[in-house]
Amino acid sequence: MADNKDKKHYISRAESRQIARENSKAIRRFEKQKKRRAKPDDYTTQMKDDNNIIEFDDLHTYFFSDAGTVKAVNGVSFSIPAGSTVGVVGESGCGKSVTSLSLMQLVQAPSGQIVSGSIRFKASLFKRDERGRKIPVYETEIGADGVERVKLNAKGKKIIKKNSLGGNLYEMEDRVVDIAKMPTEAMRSIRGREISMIFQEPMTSLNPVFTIGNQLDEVGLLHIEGISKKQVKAHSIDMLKLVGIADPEGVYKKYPHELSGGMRQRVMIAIALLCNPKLIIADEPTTALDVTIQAQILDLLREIKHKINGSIMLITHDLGVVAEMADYVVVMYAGRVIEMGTAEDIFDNPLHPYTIGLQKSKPTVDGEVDKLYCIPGFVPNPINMPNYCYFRDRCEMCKEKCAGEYPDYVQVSPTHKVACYLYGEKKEVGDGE
Amino acid sequence: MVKYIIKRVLLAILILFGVSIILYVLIRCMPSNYIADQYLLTRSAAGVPLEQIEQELHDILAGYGLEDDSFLGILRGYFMWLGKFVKGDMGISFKYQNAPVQDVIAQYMWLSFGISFVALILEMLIAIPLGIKCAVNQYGKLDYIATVLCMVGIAFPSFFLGNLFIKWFAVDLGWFETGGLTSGVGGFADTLWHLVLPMSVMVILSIGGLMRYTRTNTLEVLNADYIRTARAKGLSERKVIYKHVFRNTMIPLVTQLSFTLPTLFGGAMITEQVFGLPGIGQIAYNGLLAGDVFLAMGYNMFLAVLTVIGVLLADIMYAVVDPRIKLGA
Repeated sequence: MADNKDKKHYISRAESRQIARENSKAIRRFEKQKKRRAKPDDYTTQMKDDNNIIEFDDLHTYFFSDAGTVKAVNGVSFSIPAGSTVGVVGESGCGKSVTSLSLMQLVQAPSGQIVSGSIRFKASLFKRDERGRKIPVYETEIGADGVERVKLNAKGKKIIKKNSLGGNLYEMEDRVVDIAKMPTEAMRSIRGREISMIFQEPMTSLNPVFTIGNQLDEVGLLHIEGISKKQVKAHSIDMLKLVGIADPEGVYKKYPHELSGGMRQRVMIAIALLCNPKLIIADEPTTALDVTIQAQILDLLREIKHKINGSIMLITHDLGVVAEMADYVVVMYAGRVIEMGTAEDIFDNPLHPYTIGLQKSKPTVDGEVDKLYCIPGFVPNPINMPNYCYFRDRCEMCKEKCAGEYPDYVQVSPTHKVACYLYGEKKEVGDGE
Repeated sequence: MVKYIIKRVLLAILILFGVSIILYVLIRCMPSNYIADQYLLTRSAAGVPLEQIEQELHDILAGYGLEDDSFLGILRGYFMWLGKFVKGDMGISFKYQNAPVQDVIAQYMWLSFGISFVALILEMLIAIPLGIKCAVNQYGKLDYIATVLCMVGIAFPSFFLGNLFIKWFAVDLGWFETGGLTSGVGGFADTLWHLVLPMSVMVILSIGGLMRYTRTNTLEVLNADYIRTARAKGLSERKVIYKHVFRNTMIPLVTQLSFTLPTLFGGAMITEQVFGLPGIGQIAYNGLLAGDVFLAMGYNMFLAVLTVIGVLLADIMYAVVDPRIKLGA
């Protein structure tokens, strides 16, 4: 036993066989669940707070790897209020991207699976009749006898009402769904229509063999039923205009390799905006871009948020970006949320030693610093995480109490929560008041 | 584009010139020579003294540039051949009724082409969808079964599988006819009946490579960022795979398939031999055995030209299927 502990990477053949067996069993179960046929009632839930559009509740997303189970997201809970920007910060590998991918059900399957917890989303879905078909809204007219009836076309067929883009109008219903339990097939109508995503790498996120126009139109043709090709094209060009592309008609015909990184990221944003989503997930949207383009893209995102009246989940490791953009900040470390609060809470009054360390390690323009601060040590191995605070071994303010179980959240103020033993006493004071 | 193609064609001529020198020297180094063998046989049977035969033979061979086996003699012979070749005359095939080589090739080429073409179509129809299916269900049951079968297919030598098929399906079960193209009945159906086994052998042997190639390429594309983007748009898995993935997998596949041009027209030497089919492969094989210099030369040049065209075609196809590639830039 002692031997095994010393050589952490060593796995015996029997162990590796057992891991493989357990993995394939788990993966089969989760894949089956994703492929099952389910009625909307099976994954309908209730929001805890009606102001939120997304609530992550104790989300666990694991990767079943050959070396063991990697708990990439290990009990994450936070919410995104409607109309706000939530910044998720943390260093590479802390699970922030996996959290966002879980929200889209895009975690790299089959090894990556949402294991437990829920992601509640206030969706507006198509109302379905008893045979699972969408219910169209028909054009009506008031007849000679003064009674309102459905308008018919020359062939005697009912005319479906059109929306402003030229697509068919269907009856919609608001329904809170649990994305963690949704089958993939049902998830498809949320992806790209209700929640859309902008990825980190604009250089590789567009398909190199299709034109920009083709890749934009695809979303419109998929989600806006009954729209004509011409109308889709007009809408796509409008979107390119909206994201600040100077020559939208020209870009529409171009291939991705003919555009610069900033332009491609704009195109990605245009794709994300095409169906007026309620939430845009921006997964490190500016990491691959140079600083001037970064500022432009961030301005664009902010502008767009107002235009579509939606929310943004902004994932980044750049505290400057968060400070500029976010209303709320969630700090993640090793698959867990360690501190969250409003942007003021986190920047003016950081509590968790990790957050404090992050703040200190940020280069500043004013004040002379010889050497930039660096948090000592490494993130623990994601396989076989310790059961004490994950930051303990790197923490400068470590106490004896930290040897105990993983700390619970301490509510420091109505908006500010932190998972650290340093603030245990404050909680009692707060409770007493 | 046009400029690029012209440049490539000029380059190809240079390559073919080099190839023809090497081929000619190699073929002339063969120990046997059809005319010499036949002449010696018939004349010595008639009781003509050896010295006289050799004198006569020298005169005959001189007419073809084949009389001198020294280095300079071979070189002289080469330029004699080249002079005719550029005028479109590939010499005559001694073994096949002294017909011009180009006529022999043209006569037997189409059977080989027919077999190879049908086999290639079948191969693509089976291997490409199977490769994609295997990649999508990586390490699934289908993937393992297909991989094992493909490895078996790749590992079999064609003569062995051919003979095995003849034994099983023609001799033991009697389902198919083999040996030539017809067994007296005649007609298209009869010919087709004889071609089922050789075609199956060719398909089975070549499927493995293409399927593995498709699988690897699909796997690579499946992990690309833009596939995740396609899924994030809400596209169905079908659409993601058959539009976004397949279009990218096709880029290396099309290029790969352009390289099969020589095999398409050049015949399957061993398979044709095993099944006794009078295709260009078998003809060339027998010609080479008999020391038919001009036929061997013509056939190999035919393959060389096809290869050069195939490579050029692959480059052009690359630019056609991949918008990022511009020829001549």
